[in-house]
Amino acid sequence: MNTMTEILPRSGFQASSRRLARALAFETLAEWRNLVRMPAFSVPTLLFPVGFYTMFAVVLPFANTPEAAATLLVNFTIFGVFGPGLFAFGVGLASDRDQGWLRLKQACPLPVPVMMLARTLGAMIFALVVVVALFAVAATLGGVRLERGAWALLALVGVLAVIPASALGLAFGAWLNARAAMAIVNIAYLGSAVLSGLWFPLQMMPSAIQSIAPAMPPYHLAELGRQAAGIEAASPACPVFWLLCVTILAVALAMPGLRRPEGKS
Amino acid sequence: MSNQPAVVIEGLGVQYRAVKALDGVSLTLEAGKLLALLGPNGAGKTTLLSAMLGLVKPNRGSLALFGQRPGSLAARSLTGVMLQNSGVPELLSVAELVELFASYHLDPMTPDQAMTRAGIEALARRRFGSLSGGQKQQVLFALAIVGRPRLLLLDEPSNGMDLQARARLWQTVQSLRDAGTAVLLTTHYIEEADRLADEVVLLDRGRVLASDAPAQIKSRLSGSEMRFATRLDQVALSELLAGTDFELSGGRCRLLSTQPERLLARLLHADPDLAELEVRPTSLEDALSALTLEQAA
Repeated sequence: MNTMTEILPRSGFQASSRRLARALAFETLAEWRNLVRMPAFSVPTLLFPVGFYTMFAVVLPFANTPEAAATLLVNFTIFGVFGPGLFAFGVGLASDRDQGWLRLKQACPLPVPVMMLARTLGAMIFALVVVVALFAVAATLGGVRLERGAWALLALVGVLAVIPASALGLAFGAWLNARAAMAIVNIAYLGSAVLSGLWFPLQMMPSAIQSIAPAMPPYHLAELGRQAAGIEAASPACPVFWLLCVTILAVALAMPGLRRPEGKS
Repeated sequence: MSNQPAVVIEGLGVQYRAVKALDGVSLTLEAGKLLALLGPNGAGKTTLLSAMLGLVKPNRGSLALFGQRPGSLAARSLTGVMLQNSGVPELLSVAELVELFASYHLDPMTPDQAMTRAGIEALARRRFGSLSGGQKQQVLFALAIVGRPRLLLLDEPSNGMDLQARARLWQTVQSLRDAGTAVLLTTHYIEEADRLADEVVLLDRGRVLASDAPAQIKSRLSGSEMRFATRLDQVALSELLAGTDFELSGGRCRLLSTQPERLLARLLHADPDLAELEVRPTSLEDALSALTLEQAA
C-alpha cells in the first residue's frame, strides 16, 4: 500500500489520454446500459418510430410511389433518432442532478466534456439501433429501394442527428427539474416532429405551420436525410450550417444552467 | 509533496443569501490522520464538504487540497468522496458501478478489491436499485475508495448500515488511514468519532466551537439530562440550581448537568416528594446545544 509514492511521479497531476479513453469507454457503456434497461426510455424511443413508420408505410397506403416510400422512411428515421439524444440529456441529466448522481460525478476526476461526450455516444448507439430497425422494416415490408451508398449516408445522417438533439436536450436538462423535463421534452419532441412535417406532409398543413417549420431542427435534418437518400439533390451546406448554429446556441444556453450554484433553483 | 497537508482551510466563509452557512472556519488535516466533523443538523458540515469539492464557492477565506484548488481535476484525482443522498443509477449493477468509477482513475484498485474492502463482494451482480439503504451506503463507500484516494471525504458514511457493515467500514477506513490516507468524516455519533478520530472538530451554525483530540472533546460534552416532577417553583429552583440552565413547565423540570448526583441531593432535600425522576446521558445534540449556549453566554 505505497499508493502515495506510486500515483504522483508517474502522472504528475496531468490526466493521461489513456485514462481518459478508458473512462470514456466505460462511461459510454454505462450510459448505454442505463438507456436500454430503462423501459420508460427504450420502449417509446424504439417502438414509437418503428410502430408509426410501419403503420404509415405498410398498413396505410401512403407510400404509393418509390419516392413517397423513401420520404416516409427519411421522416421516421429523423423522428426516431431525434429522441435518444433529446431524452438522454433533457430528462436523464435533469434526473441525475435531482438525485445527486451528477454531484457525485462532479467530485470525480472525470472531465465534464468526457461525461457529456459519453452520454452523446450512448445516445448515438441507441439511435443506430433505431435506424437499423427502421431500415429492416423499410427494406422488407416498406418496399423502399435505395442505393447501398444512400442507405449508409442516411444512417450516418441519423447518427449525427444525435448531436443537435443532445445539445437541445442539454439546454432543457440544465435548467429543468426531472418532472418538468419529462413533460416539456415530450412536448418538444412530438411538437417539433409534427411542426417539421415528419408525420404529415407540410403541404397538408396550414400555412402558419408551414412558415414555422424551418425554425424546427428536425425540418433541416429531414432535408439532409432526403439528400442522403437521393430524393433531393445534395446541397448540405445550408441545413448543416443551420443545425450547427442551433447546436452552439443550445450549448451556450445550457452553460449557465449547468454552472448555477447548488440548491433549489 | 509528501509532507504537504491534505487539507488546509483558513477563515472559510460561505454565505447563502442572508444565511452564513460557514463563518470563519479553519482546519488542517495531515496525511494519515482521521478528522471527525461533528455537529447538529444545519451546522454546516455538508456545506464544508461541498466547498472542499469545489461544488460551493466560498465568499472568503482559502481552501486547498494538497495545495490544489478544490474542484480542479488535480484535486479531484486525489480525492475519494462519499456524499449523502447520492442517487446512483438504479439499473446498473454493483460491479458495473465500481468498474465505472475505477475507470476514472490512473491507478485504481481492481473492482474486486474495492468490493471486498467495502464488504459487498456478494452483491456484485445485484442492481443498485434492489439494495437496502445500508447496502447502498456500502456501494458508495466502494466507489469512494476504488481510486486509491489520498484524501477520503465521507459524509455520514455509516447511515443505515447494520452493525456488521459498520464494523467492516471502520476496519477499512482505519487500514486506509494507517496506509497514509487522510480521512475526513462527518457524523452525528460521538462514539464513532471517539473510536476512530485523531482529531474532532465541533461545528455549530457555521463556526468551529472546538477542535481537539476525542478524549478532550468528550469530557467537554459528557453530562446527563435530568427530568423530574416537582412542586418547587421557578424562584426556588433558580436558587437551588444556581448556575445550571433548566426548563420548568407544568410542574415538570428538565435540565442538563455534569454533576447530576450533587444536584439531586439538594433537590431531594428541598422537595422530598420529587417524582418521576429520569437521569440519562446526554445525546450529542443536547450536549452540543448546551455547549452552544455556553459559548453564546
